[in-house]
Amino acid sequence: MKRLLAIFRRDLKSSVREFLLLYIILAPIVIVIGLRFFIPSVNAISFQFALDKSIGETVIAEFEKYGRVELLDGRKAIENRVVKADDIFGVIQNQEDDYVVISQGNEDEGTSTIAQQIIGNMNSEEEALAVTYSDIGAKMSSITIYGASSVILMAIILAGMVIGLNIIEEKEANTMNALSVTPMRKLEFIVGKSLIGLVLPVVEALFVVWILNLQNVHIGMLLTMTLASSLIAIIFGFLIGVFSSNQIAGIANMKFLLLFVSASFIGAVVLPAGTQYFLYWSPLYWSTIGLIKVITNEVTWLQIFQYTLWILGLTILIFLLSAGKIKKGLT
Amino acid sequence: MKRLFGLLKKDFLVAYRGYFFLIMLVVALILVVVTNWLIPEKANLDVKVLYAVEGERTERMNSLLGFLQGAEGSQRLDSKSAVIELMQGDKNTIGVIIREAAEKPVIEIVLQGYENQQSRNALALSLSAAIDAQNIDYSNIENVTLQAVEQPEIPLNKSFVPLMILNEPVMLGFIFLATLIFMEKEENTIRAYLVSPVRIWEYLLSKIIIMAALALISTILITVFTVGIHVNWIMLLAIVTAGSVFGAASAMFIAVFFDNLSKAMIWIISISLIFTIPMAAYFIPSFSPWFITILPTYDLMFAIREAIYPAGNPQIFYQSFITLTIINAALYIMSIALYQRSLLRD
Repeated sequence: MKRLLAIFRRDLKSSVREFLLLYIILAPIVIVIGLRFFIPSVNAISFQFALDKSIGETVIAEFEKYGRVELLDGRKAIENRVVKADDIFGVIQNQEDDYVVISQGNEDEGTSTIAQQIIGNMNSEEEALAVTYSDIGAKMSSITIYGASSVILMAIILAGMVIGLNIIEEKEANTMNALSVTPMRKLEFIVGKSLIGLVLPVVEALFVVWILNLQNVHIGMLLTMTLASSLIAIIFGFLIGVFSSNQIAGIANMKFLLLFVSASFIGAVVLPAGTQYFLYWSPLYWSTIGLIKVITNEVTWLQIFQYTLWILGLTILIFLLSAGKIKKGLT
Repeated sequence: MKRLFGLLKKDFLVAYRGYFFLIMLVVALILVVVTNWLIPEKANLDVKVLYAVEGERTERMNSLLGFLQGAEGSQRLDSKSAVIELMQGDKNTIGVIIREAAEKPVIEIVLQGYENQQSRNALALSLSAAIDAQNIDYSNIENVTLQAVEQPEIPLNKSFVPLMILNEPVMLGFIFLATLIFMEKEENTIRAYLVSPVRIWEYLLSKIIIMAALALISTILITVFTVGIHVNWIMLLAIVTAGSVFGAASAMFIAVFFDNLSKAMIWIISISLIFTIPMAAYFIPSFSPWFITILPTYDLMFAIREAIYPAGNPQIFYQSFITLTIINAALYIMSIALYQRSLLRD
C-alpha cells in the first residue's frame, strides 16, 4: 500500500511539475464553464430574419415574436446577408408596399415558408386556431444532457491519457529499468499508476454536475458509471504507454483512441435505436448511454447494474487480450 | 529551393517513420466504412410530432390532421397521457392535442419545457397556417430566391462527409505538426539549424507542405470512396489545402510557447476542440451566434460542403479561402519571427 501510494504521489508530482495535471483538470472545467454560457444560445435557437430598417416598427415587432431580427440598410445589404452560410430570411417592402421575401434557396424545407406565414398572419384579421401551451417539465435541453455527458467522458479519457504519457515519460527516462530492480511488484506498479485514472474523473464529474447545476443527478449512480468507465480508460492509457516508444507515437495512438471515443459517443446519440447494436462491442457506448440516463435522471439501479456489467465484461475482455502486451511492455 | 527539397525529404521520412501516413490511411478507411455501412442513409433528426384527438373528430380538424399526418416522423396516439409518456422517453418530440370548442379547433401544444417563446410562437403559426391555408392572404408577397439550384437530396450518411473532412484531414495537421516540432525541440535538432544554411522559413514551410499533402491524400480517399468523383475538385482541394495549412500554422504558432509536448498537450486538445465547435451549426443552419461565426472553421466547414454538394453559393468558398489565406500568411510570418527569437534566446 505504501509503495502504491508512492507511485501515485510520484505521478502526481511529475504531472504537476509540467503543469500537465493542472491542464488536464482545468480542461473539462473550462469547457463546462464555456458550455454553461453556450447553453442559453443554443436553447434560444429560432428563426433569423434580416429586415429593411425602413419597414416599420409594427412589422419588426411582429417578426421579433418568431425569431432574431437583424436590421439592415436596403435590399443590397439584405441580399449580401442572406447569401452567408447560415439560414436567414430577408424581408423588404417594394415601391407598391408589397412585401418581398428573399431567401437563398437552400433553406430547410420545413422552415422555408415561415416569413410568408408571418406576413400572411399579419394580413389575417381572425386567428384560425386557439392555442394553449403546456410542458412536461423537462427543463434540461439536449445540449445540456449531451454536453455534460461528453465532458465527463472526456475527463475519463484525459485521465487515461495522463497514465499513457506518464508511462512514455518513464520509458524515455529509463526509470522503468530502475524500478524493475526495486522490491516493487508489477501489480503494485500497475495499480499505483491507475489511481490517477480513477481519482481525476470522479473529481471532474462532480465539478461538471455542480457547474451545470444538475441538481437531480443521483451522485451514487454518477460515481458508479464514472468509476466503471474509468477502468477502460486506464487500460487504454496503459496500452498507449506500452505501444508508444515516444511521445509522437503516443499522440498518434491517442488519435485512434479519440476516434474510437467519438464514434461510440456520436453513434449512441445520433444512430436510431434499431441500429445501435453495431456499437455494443464498445464499452464507451455503454458509458455514454449510462451517463446520459444518469444526467436525465431516467435510470434505475438495475439499469446501472446492467450497463456496468457490460462495461466491466468488455473491459475484462480487452484486458485479457492485452494483458500479455502490457506486462511485456512494462518490462 | 534545394534546401527546401532536402527538408521536405527529411520531414517525409520522419512522418513516414512516425506512422503518420499509416494513421492517415487507417483513419480514412475507418471513416469510409462508417459512412458507407454504419450510418443509415435515412434517419429523421428533426423534431417529431406526437398528436392525439380528444373528443369527437370534426370536419374543421381535417386540414390540421392532414398536415400532421404528412409531417415526417409524426405519430398519432390515443390520448394525451400516451403522448406525454412517449415524450418523456424522447427529448426530440413535441405533442399536439386537438379538441373542438365553440365550433373552433383548439390545440394544446405540449412541449418538453426548455423551448423558448419564439419557437412556441413559430410552432403555433405553422399549425395555424396549415389549418387555415385558404384564408391566409399571401397576395401581397413576392418571393425572391437568390441562388436556386436543384440539389438532389443528400443521404444522411453522405451528409457527414464535409464534417469528416473538416475533422480529420484538415485538423490532422494541427496535431501532427505539433508533435513533429516538439520531437525536434526535444532532440535539439531545431538548434542545429542555427549553424546550418537552412533558413527558419524553409524549416517551417517544409512541415506545412507535408501536412497539406497528408490532408489532400486523405480528402481524396474519403471523398472518392464515399461521395464519388462528381464533386468540384478544384474547389475542394483548394479549400482543404487552405484549411490544413491553417491547422498546421496554428499548431506551429502554439508550439513555440512550450518546451515539450506534455506542457502543450492540453492547449493543443482544447484549441482543436474550439476549432470544431462550428460543427454544432452544420445541421442547424439558423444557429449562428457570433462566437461560432468568428472561428475560421465555420466558413471553412460550409465551403467544404459547397465544394462537395454545390448549392450555388460559391461566395462562401471565396470568402473562406481569402480569409484563411490572410490568417495563414499572418501566422506563418509571426511563427518565423517567434522561432527566430526563441532560437537566438536559447
